[in-house]
Amino acid sequence: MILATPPAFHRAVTAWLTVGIALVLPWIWLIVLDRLLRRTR
Amino acid sequence: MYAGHAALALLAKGKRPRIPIAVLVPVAFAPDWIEWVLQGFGIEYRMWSHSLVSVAIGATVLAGVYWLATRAGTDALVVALTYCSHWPADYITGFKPTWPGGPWVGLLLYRNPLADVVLECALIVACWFVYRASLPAVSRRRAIAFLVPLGLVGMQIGFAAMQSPNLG
Repeated sequence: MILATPPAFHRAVTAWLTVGIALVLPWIWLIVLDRLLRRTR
Repeated sequence: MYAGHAALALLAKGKRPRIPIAVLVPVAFAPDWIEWVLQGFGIEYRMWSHSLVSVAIGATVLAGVYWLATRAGTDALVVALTYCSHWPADYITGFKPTWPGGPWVGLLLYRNPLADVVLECALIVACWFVYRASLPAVSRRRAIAFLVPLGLVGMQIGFAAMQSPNLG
């Protein structure tokens, strides 16, 4: 019953997920590029 | 601080290339990860994630785990320093706890979002130069080498725009 939950809860979940994405993004970015850059072949 | 933490992980990687970047990046962001997990449980208590005491404990524990896994003492020390770098970096941009009952301190650069972006972008470029020197010579001039700082700068600008929609 997502529609029945309070807007404040939606905002809190959205903010929490946004922070999670912000934490994962530079992690994945640097793992991928570092792997490509250290591959000498 | 946001992308500046990733830049400090790059700096550590540049100095100690044996340490996986997959370890250094989350270590540099570790207090934010702890805060994020706690928030997932509805706990809003930054003393457990961002205080000097919690950073010292977290850095010691993670460095100890890294040393047990690798037996590389200097690398474990760099892992600890990367973790510890979070606090002074956040001190510049924000307002952070020290110890239970102690003062909250910080220079609150976030109040001037443009100055924050400029500082973090300068840090990204400076740390990237150190990281770039650790790459094989053939990789240093490859276009994707420049995507490292460009991507982080883009993330920082996006972060600042979300925090301060009037930035532009």
